[in-house]
Amino acid sequence: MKSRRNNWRSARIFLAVIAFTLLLASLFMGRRFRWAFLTQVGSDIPALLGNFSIGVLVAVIGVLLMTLVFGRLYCSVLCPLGVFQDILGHFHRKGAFRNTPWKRKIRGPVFCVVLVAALFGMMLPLTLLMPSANFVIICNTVIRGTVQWLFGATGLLPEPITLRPMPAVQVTGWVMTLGLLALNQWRGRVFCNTLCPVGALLSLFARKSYYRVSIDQSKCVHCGACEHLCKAGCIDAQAGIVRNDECVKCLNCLSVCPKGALTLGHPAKAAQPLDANRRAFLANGGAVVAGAAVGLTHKVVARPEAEIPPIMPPGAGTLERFTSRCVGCGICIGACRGKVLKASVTEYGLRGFMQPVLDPYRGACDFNCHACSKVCPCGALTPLSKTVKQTTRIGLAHWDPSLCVAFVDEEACGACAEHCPVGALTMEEVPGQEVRVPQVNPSLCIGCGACQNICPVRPQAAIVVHGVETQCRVEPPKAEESNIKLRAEEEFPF
Amino acid sequence: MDRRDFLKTGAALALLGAASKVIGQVQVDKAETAATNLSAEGMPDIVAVRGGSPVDMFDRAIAELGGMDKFVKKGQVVTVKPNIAWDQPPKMAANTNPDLIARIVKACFEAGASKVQVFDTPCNSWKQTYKNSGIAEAAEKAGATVVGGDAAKDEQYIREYYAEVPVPKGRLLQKVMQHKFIRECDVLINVPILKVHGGATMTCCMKNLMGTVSKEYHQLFHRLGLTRCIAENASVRPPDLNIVDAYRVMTKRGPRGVDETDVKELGYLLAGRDMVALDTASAKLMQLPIRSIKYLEEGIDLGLGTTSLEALNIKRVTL
Repeated sequence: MKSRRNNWRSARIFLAVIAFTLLLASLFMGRRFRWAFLTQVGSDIPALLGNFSIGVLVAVIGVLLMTLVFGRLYCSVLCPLGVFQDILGHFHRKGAFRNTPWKRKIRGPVFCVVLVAALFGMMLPLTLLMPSANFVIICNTVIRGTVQWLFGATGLLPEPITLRPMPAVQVTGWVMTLGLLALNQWRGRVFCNTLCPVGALLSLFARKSYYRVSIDQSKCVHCGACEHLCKAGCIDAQAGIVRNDECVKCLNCLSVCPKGALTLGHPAKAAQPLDANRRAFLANGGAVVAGAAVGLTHKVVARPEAEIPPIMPPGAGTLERFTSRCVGCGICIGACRGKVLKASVTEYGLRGFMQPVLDPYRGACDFNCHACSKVCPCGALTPLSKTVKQTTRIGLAHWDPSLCVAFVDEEACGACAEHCPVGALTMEEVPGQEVRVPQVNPSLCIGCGACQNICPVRPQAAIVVHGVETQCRVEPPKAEESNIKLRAEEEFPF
Repeated sequence: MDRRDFLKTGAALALLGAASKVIGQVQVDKAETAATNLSAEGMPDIVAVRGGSPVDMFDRAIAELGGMDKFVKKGQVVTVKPNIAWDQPPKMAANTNPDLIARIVKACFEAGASKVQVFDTPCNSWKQTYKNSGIAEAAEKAGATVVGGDAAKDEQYIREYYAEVPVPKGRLLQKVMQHKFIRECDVLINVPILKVHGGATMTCCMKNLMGTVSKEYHQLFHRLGLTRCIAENASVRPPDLNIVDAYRVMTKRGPRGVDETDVKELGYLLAGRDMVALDTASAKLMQLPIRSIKYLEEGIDLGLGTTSLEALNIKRVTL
């Protein structure tokens, strides 16, 4: 099949490459490119509810306006998972797709379930289906892992980039990638028109967009070339209809039509009518109820109340607030300088699978770093200034003398006190002990985990940090005068 | 203890110190390192300078020791080992003064060094620590080769730069993972900053050499017995010259420090070859009891130097 170049399509690809590169940069190069993630409406909308800001509002309105004008161009240009699928689909044998009307029956109910469950504080369905979150998860597991595996030994990487995810998280990443690849080979962008909540949302706005792809009935010979090429499965060649709510504006079809019957423009004809029948209404209504039910299950699959709370990243606020707002994408994990954050498995209960948690055995929260709270795209972490972060308690250190080298073996150690950035841990003399032992001042401890991380005792450290249910500010350490009077005036005391 | 006992002990210690010095010199046996002949030429064992900027005090100290070319010969590779442990700015005095490092690097080049290498094994994130300490930039500007990496998790960096070396005098340690810059240098210049220390009471010359091993060994030292391991590690490759930055010192909540009230301006710089003696003098500057710094005894035991300063030729200079 001859394919002529189409300028619209070239422009779409050009924009997609730029956007995709910037999004990758925002994941791998930290805070410098974090604004690129503002384009992701999937995480912007929860951010509007969690941490309102004008920037996010403008971004959301911008995307919706763009959808009203150009349809779901977002899905082909700004959505990283969409572009990722296009890259995967590049190897697909061309011309094997077909119009798939059944996907319309799935999209609405799935959207309702995910949305209502999220409103009830159960974020897991959103974590597993939201495209930007999925893309970050794939990046953090599959892409980072593969690049490390391929180039780790060559010395081309300045630093290791793998995040050492837990096995369950690694498997989830691979299932997402391979599942997406399989769906893509089978029916192109079928994920985007069935399971994707962002696609479902935008399809509501795209139905009557100003610019649409339409078929000129006077030229069309119903050959089906466009329908077979359409990865979104939105063209019915027999009826000569392009479903604009499903069209992702890849514009591949424009150049494939042998008669030049497909055009992008503002058609005089009205958009196709909404298929609002009783069955669809019932399905969506049922889905809302189902979503509520899923949402309420988090009470069942939550972690047991009696357990020690997990350590949440700074800016999380309370456990309930955080777990019901975080979409578990893991951008913060990639940005973590202290390499202490990891995607949780059961720490928050099943409900919080993939949500970030601090594991001081892996690293320590870097005292001068507040990247996680700054990069969080969905408002689960409130952005904290460096000074506020340095005085925000995310946990509390607990000393177990029965494991401590200094207490049991009476060997001078003090590794924990050395590393404490706030002076909450000091080595103090106690009666009956030959060497000084650690003492925690709970009024100063912020729970960064530096002590637990450096403690030489393993498998269980002698000093461990417990998370707190509610993060709060600690009193900044009072400036006190030194009790050691130095005689700098006295010359040479030796 | 009466006067006779005191004299006896003093004499014995002095003898022991002198003996250990001789043993140390025989074992190091670096013919090209002129430092070994210092005492013979009537050069001071320790130079203590006060009352100037760190750079001026260094210039004076090295002049008193006979100039940098006494230590560095033409074409030699020099490693300067500062303390770059903590992600703190220079005003916190948690890391060695960057201007001092730059001056030392320049002095090495002036003496004809072919390459000057600078590194440490930081406790905090290495990139931030190198940057915020100001040392990486200062040393690079002066022409030094600076390398760093995550010595805990970056396996590539560890493979490339750290290798196992035996600890001949070790009782607790048989081997350590030592940095390439320590293994592959003709001259080692140790440039600690003087601080109080939560675990080891004080950090100066001997403790600063803990930064020559990988992070895994830092934890191992703490587990096996910190004070003994500090001394055993310091015995692997004793520095040819130690320069103690005691201009701004941390007097509490060390070694990291919390705020500027932890820091005092002391205004000293010490230089010399004997790590134990310099640490002893530094402890006196900090008014810390010598017996509270346990690794000094271990240092004597391993023949690294002496704590009896009265037996040494100390040159005291006020600028």
